[in-house]
Amino acid sequence: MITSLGRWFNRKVVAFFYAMGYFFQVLKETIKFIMSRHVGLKVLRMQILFTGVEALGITAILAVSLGAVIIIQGVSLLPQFGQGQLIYTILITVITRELGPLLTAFIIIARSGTAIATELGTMTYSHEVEAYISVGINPIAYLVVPRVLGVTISLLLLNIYFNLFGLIASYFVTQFFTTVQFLEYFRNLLQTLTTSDIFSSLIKSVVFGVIISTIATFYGLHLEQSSTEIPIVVIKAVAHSVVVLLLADVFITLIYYM
Amino acid sequence: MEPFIELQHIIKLKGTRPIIKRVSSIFNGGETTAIMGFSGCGKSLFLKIAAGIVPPDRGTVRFHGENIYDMDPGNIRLFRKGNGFAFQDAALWANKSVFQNLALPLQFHFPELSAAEMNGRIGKILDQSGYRDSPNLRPDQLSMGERKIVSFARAMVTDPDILFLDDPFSSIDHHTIDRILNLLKRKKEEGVSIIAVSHSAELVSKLADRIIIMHDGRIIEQGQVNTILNTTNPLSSEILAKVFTKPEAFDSAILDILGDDDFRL
Repeated sequence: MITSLGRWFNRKVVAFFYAMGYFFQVLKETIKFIMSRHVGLKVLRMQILFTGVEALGITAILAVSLGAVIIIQGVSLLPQFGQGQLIYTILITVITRELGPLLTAFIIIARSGTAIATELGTMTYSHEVEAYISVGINPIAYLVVPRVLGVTISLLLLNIYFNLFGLIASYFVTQFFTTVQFLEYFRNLLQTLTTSDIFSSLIKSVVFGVIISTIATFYGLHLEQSSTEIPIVVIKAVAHSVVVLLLADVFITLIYYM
Repeated sequence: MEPFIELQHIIKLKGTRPIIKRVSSIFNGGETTAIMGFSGCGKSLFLKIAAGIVPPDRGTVRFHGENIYDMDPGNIRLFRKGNGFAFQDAALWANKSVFQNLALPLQFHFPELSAAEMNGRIGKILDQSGYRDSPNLRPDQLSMGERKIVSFARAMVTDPDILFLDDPFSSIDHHTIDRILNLLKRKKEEGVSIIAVSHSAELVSKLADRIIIMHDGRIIEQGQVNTILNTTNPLSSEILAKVFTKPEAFDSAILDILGDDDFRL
């Protein structure tokens, strides 16, 4: 019992340091990628197109719906308690600080995290990754870094886009149900919004982007032998991304309130 | 001939199970080596370890005395520039066309090449390899044989000094095999080293200087072709018999190697 527990613990420690080693390797190659012109630029463009541009529709729908629900609920309920002004704090807290980065991250896990893990898993299985090594192209520099950068940049931009739709476009939707004036709404919103709200939101989306893409690429390249492992690595990538993402969210939120 | 790739006490594990078991070998410059053995004996993995693609769990692989897996990025890039690897399952990049599959190694190692030079070089090697279809097709639009030809062409496109070929002739028609063999013969004459996993009697008879016979993750015999073909090891004889009892093996070249009296497999 103790022996098997020790073995399990040993495996976990080795796996942790292996993953850390992978992360630092990705970090090193990312810095090199940014500093020099690279053959992976096309992969980066494609990744931004797939992760960012193609997710604009669903992000807008989600942001407008969420913003509209908050405004409708807030405008209906809060004045009953004499707290009508709280609607702006709630909007900023929920959309800008919390759900903006988190929901866009979930969209990206569902769309791009799974796609990256599947694509790299298939490439590993069909020896395409080995083919890159054989011609001298570092797969981390050519396959991983453009995906990490693409996902991170896309998540950052999607978060800004989510905020615009969640805070502004949702206002117009609610005009069918409420009578709040636009200028008043917009002025109060800007008065409530602080620089730390913006920074917290942007930092979260960058951290989430790095987490999702690094975990997805790690599991994609981690495939051993069989094509039947592909769905398994995808599930692992999604599950680990969600867990690490939520932990990171709690950590950043704690720092915000410290 | 000068030793240029040296493998010492290589062990590769799958989980905790060794699949390459303390194997050592030396490859000399300009030499052609055929690696043979039954399926699953570790030939392809051994080739990939020798080519610096898959790191061993124990042991060293040296290229001109320097450990491949400890090389600095500049030297590893030079090493890669000087070798080509044709994969058993072709391993073409599925999201790139045939042309792009050949262009990427050129763009990476020879960024100074103009578009016209690159087109010319790719067109020439595809023609020499016997590829007849459009270079704009994607790998999934090709037959397995065509993919293998393109994989071979990709290995050759940078004009390497060392060629690693993993079962290069499977799924390829005889006419194209002859064409590739002639190309390899020319390369050999130019001093290119060839290390091939192959059960092709033609490759062994027309090109090989050395044979390595593997079984169950071990090298059971290695040496000059004439020595190995006259082996008394029953397992080696069985493996060689599988190759040389094929009808196409009885050509003049193999009989030249063996001599009529020695042909007893």
